[in-house]
Amino acid sequence: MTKRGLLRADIATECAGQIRCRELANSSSFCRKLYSEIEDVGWERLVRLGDNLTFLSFRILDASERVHVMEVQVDQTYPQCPPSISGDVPYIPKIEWSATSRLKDAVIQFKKHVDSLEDFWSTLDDIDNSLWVVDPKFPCRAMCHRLVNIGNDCIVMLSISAQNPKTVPECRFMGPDSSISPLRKAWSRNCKKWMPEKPFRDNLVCIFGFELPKGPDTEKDEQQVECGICYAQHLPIEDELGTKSGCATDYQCDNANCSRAFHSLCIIDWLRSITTTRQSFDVLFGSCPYCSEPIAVKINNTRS
Amino acid sequence: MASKRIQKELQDLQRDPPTSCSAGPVGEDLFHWQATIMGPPDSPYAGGVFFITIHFPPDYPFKPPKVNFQTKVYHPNINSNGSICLDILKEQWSPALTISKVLLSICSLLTDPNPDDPLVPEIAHIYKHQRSRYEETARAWTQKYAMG
Repeated sequence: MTKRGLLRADIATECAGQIRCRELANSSSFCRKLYSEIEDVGWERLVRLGDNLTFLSFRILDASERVHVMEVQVDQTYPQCPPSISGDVPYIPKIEWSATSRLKDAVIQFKKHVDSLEDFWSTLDDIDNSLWVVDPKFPCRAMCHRLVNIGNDCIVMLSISAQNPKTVPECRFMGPDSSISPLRKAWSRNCKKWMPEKPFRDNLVCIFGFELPKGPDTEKDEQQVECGICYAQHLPIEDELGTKSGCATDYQCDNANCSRAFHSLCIIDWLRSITTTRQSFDVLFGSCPYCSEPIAVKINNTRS
Repeated sequence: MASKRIQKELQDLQRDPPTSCSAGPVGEDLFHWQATIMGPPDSPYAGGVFFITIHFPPDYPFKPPKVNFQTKVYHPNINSNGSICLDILKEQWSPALTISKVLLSICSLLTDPNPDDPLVPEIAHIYKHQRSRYEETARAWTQKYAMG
């Protein structure tokens, strides 16, 4: 390479260096600004900070101490361009932004927004706690619908308005026609009886005119631990019962739709008391007293 | 075991009583109950109140309860002693059944007699061939024995 050529290359490198310096200076002023604005909001609220500082998220507590995460996206032109906000909320508020606004202003506006949704979330919490919600299993805060099992193979889809959560929800019925047409009628006839101050479940019961099933967890617990024959959870404590004395249910119907629990002792006593039961070696073959599906119970070890 | 289960059935009955029937122990003896059934409105027994006695065997629920009408009833499946011919009280008994379900079955037996497995063949014959005569007599008996 000639001497002149070398010189030109030097100049080119230097130019590139200057550009990089300017970029660095710019980005360092961008960084400084962002850092000071995060300081403003409070570092303890910062959940995530992207590598190039264009993405950050803050933890926001609402009036009932629910935790929300506000996500903020900024570009290099910040603060000329307002930050774009997202979060786990049914709708995103419009952020008022001026040349002098800071991140803190956006956080305050977002906090106001989640506070305004208090009634919305407390209504949904009420539904989740008092009714048999089949979907979503793990709802996020942005979701405004719930599928609720109301018994009789009927599911009702409730959509709660984020703006007016205490008013009559929008409602769609799913299930056999014969069951849902009376429900629809009851709904249109009684929905004017909806009282915003009443618990959600009470309002539904009032409209449909019948008790609604509780979630399967509570119901199953009660059903499953009790023996379908003696109705007790535990066998009595008696020497005569040997190792089975005081034991919990230890046999369950295999039919998934039934899954009745029994004490093996009780179900064996029942099977032995009827003439249709067949025995092969130490297994009794009969049918479940509840669903009539075939069952097989081993009689080994039931009495020691 | 029997007394525990009977106690539980009594609790369930008190918590969620079936419409048109009621039942409970007569005195101190948990194994001896009395029940009442209202005559089903769509039957000739409408308007009547029928008394029923229930005796639980010591090996209940492996054996069915003994259920008898105390009130005289004109019915193909109920005789003059108050005995009831109902499959679930005999060979079709299952520990999955409860007194409450038994009483509901008796209600539906009042509405829909089963003349093909009669306890009183004469009434079954009249029920099959002279329905209006059966209804008339059943209504008259209800008026006479099950009202007031």
